[in-house]
Amino acid sequence: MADERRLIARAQSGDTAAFRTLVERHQARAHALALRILRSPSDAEEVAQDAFVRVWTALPGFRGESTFATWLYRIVARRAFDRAQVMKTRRAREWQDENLPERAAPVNDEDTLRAAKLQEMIGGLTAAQRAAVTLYYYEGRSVEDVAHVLGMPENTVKTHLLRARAALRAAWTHELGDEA
Amino acid sequence: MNCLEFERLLDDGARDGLPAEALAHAHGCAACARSLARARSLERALEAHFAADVAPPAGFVDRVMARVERGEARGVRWLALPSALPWWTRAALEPGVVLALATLALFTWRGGRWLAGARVTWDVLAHVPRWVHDGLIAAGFGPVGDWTLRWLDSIAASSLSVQVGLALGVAPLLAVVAWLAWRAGEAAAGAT
Repeated sequence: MADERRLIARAQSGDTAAFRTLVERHQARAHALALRILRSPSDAEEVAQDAFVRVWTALPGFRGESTFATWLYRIVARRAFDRAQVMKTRRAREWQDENLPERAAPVNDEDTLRAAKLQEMIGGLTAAQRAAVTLYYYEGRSVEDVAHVLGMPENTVKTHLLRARAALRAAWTHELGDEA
Repeated sequence: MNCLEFERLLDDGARDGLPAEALAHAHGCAACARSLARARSLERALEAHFAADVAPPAGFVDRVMARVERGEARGVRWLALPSALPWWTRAALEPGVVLALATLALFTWRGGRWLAGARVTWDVLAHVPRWVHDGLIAAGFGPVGDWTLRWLDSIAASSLSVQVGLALGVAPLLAVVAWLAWRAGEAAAGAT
């Protein structure tokens, strides 16, 4: 943490090597968040790149009121939402399942099918619901943190999570049938 | 606890586990026990899904740093000003401030020529209402042309404060129209 604060201070004074280290540290999660929200690898990369460039621009004004990661994710999430709005009108989805990164080792064909089904179910959520679910599960953040990152009231985040869970549960129940 | 309340609890997704009362209900209710098993199965699937690493594309950091190095960001980057400098030193070296000071210096040095240039520009602009009027008449919009000419003439004849007020009122409107046009263009580009 202290090491990160030093890196931030150096980057604030224009040290690009320090900023590079910050990008290296946070690239995976920033990119993953954009990808989870947008579901398009090319858009996710562009959004994540834009977010880092924006971070570099705004870094001199960063006062450390939130953690660097929270600040970064907030920028990523907002840009991803903006892009999702544009993509909504585009309709054509670039997403293909083969573009998905490797997921937690499915042990048999049924697991593979379920993983694909889950991916499809998550794709049916709105961008805001996906973002909330991603931060809640993937980042393991509290509702308060998710609200802070997404710049939404906590109740809105709770509503997104509630609706997302209800939709996922309904689809999952349908998927499982009488099993379980 | 009844089945409806139990379902609501599942939708709330108690991450730290369900309360004992809910578990007791599920123990005695086959339908809710099945719902609980499915909900847990979904939680496990979601956790596995989100726990998987999503590696960023190769060369991602290089591409970000290339944009940073190109000076795409941070206006004062070219000076690499240390943040330890007092704010007024950094403010004085901001590109906008430097540009304003340079403009002021040029104006002081060659102000007369600038004013002469401004006079020529104004003389040309003064013909615009007549051109608009003539254009509208030629296009068959005579009454509109007369009305436009009267309107533009009345603005030109009004006091400076009225002109400034109108400019200040119209500028945000133009900005909003430009923004809407940009959004529409972006949406159209996105739709293709």
